[in-house]
Amino acid sequence: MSDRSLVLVLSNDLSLAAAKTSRHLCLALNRLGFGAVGRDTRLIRWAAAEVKTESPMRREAYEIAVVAKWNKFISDYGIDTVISLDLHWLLSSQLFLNDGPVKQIHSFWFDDLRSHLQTAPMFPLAPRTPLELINNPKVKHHCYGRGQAEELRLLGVERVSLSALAAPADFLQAAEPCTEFKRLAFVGNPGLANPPTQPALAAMQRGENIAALRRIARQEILDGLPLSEPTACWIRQSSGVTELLAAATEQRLARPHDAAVSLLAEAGRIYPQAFDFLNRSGLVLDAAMLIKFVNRYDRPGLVLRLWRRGRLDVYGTPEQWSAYGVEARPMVPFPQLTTVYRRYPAHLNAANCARDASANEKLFEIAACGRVSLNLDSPDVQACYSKAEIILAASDDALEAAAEQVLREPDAALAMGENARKRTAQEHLWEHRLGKALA
Amino acid sequence: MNIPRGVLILSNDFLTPFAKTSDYLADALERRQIPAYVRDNADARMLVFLCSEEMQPKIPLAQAAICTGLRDLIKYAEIETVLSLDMNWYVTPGLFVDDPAIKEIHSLWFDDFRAWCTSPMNPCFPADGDEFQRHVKHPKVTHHFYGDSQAREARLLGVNRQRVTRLAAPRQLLRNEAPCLRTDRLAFIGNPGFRGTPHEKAIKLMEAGAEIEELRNFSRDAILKYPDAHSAPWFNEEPTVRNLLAVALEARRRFPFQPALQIIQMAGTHYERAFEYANEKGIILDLAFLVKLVNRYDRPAFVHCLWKRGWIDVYSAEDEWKPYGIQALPYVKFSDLPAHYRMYAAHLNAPNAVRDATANEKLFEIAACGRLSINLDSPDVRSCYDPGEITLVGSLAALEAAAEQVLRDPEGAQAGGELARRRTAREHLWDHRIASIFAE
Repeated sequence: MSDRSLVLVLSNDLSLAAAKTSRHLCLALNRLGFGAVGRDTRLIRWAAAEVKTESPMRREAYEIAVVAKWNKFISDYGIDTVISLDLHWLLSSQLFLNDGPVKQIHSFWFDDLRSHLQTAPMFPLAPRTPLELINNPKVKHHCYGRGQAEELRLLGVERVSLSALAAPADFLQAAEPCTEFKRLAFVGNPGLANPPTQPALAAMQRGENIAALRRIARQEILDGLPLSEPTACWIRQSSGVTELLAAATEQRLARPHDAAVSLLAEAGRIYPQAFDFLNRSGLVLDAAMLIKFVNRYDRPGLVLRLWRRGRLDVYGTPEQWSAYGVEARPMVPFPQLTTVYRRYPAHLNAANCARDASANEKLFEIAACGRVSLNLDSPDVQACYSKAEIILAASDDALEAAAEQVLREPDAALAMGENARKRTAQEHLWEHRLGKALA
Repeated sequence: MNIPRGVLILSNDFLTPFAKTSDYLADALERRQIPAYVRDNADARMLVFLCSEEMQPKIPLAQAAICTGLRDLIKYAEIETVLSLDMNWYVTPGLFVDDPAIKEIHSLWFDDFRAWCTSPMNPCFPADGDEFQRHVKHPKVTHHFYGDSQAREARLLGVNRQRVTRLAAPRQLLRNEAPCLRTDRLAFIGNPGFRGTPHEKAIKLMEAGAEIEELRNFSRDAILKYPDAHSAPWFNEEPTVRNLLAVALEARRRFPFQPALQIIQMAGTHYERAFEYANEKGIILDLAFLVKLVNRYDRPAFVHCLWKRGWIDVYSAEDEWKPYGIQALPYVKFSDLPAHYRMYAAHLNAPNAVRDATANEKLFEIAACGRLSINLDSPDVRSCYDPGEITLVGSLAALEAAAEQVLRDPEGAQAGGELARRRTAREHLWDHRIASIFAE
């Protein structure tokens, strides 16, 4: 009877980037001819956690009320598809997954499974496990990075496919002039919210390259293992954990874009007892996160390099950047993003180390705005744009040289940005991703 | 045009018709390139309920959780305007009215103040003194009423920052071209309005073919003759309340579209003691509600009249229609509404008696789908469409004649529907209302 499919897009305002992207998903769905409604789940998650501790007797009744509200909403609207970033659709084991009007659920992964489960409280899922629920035949997982997809597959997640992030179509219309020709810009945070160690900061200030920063990060990880919890406890229970992590982080130095969890599994073949301990204790994802931290100074290292030379304006959370000695301008509100992107001839872009994926949303948004981005070379980024559209640098020295070149010849950078814009219009809008997912 | 950078729309998803319209408003805003974020506050209200029951010490934390989330969104989405149906934007004191980032708040009233404040779906965090009044009358807040009488009722309550903004239709309905499959029947989609069980004598009157006038007479008398448990004590405590109400009920019978509150106030000039009693007891709006119930059988009688003749399909609220002897078809989900509107050559429409407003959302939605609606004649409805675009009837006899005409000449009805669709496309979309809200 319905003349078009109706999609519920669930976000979580705890991550404002997710709120922004969820709105763009709704608009893209509309342009594709789907109906779309967006809703936030932040407060339910907060309340689910509070009720669990403060009023456990009411927990079940509260969950029933929440589920009833959503089920009525789904039924009255005639919603047949649910889409969210990460697992924002998963609040309760009783929602969306049972026989009912919802036929498809799509998770577009922004984050990684471990981080999501830690930051997004939900109603108790027992007796079922999160894995059972997210492997429901209705659910499809879309990963934006090869490492991220590999990680999910190794964890036993089914129906995983690669689907790069994308740009909102309205960014293509941005027409503000380029007015700042003396500097590039970086819009974003350092990645990890905790401040750098003094030795790492000193190395960055000395201008050490990324390879050196990764070695420092690796050593910090290994040195910290026996000194802090919970890793000290792991070592007490299985002394081989240190060697296992030393081997895996060593591999990460050599293959910085391989999935941390597969490096861990590889090292696990040499240290099977330690790997078995981590696996049986449910600690594989925590250990994989430590391996990812080998890259923790990639982004701040690149930013600091250009910042110290006075070649970069940084926009982000000032408190997080001040720990690196970078004076950041305030976070850019959503409606001003295109203006800021258009203001500069080029933008620095670097992956967040906490995720095994490097073609982030900014890559596509900068391109949609007709501006060139300077990226560290990685397979994910290479797969999306050619060298005529973005700058891919093999090292931080190369990236710095490219930045100088942009400032010397901004017109050439603007021309590359236009190429990137055309490619984005052809291939990298949310419409392209959603059209494929819902086909 | 005062275009905001971002608009936050507060919905209440416990009540899906509110949610649906909130999403239509968001679509209309986005079409004007105004970023719109719909956020449901049913969860916040559920939390208020939990805090009032068992989590009292958590009140400040719960308020903070609600405020933090929305304030972050306001900051990063550069929200300047808050919009909601009724006062769904009011959950916790000060959240929007005291936020300097918020320049305007718009309440588009679906309901009335009394119903909103007494609904179990709308608990708010507790506040001292007259915080609610401060919010209602705050200079940032504009109240939009879809009925002239509804607006006058609010003015009598001291709500001066107000205007009449009619309801409207979502643009996508204009595109629906589903065929007309049923030319042998009309349809009514909706519930009987007032949820109370109908009096059996009222049903008998309907079955005997009583006119609307007779049913209003019956209702007028029944309100005094069979007072409910709520109102009976008033008559005992202050017997003149009965006299005041009798006069008001009779006035409503004669002037069925005059604001009930205005009628009460006028009757109060004759029964000062009763009015003073009602005022002191805080039951003026309850009395006005009783006065509105003079019209309670308007909608059911409308539907019943054609049901008896076998000329109508009734959809939704099966349990509520059963006491009227009407077997309703299942609820129509929102995504199926356009096809259902298009399936019939004409639809019956009648206002909900509990609101002093008659140009309901269905009026515009049926028209947007290119279908004719047959309506009870009233000033609100007449101000939106011309005869020819819709049909206006003043009695059940006229209704039967109009329905018969549709059944005899469904093509003629569809031609009328097309005129209504054009008028809707020109004047009665949510896009028009949004343009008008931000025009000042």
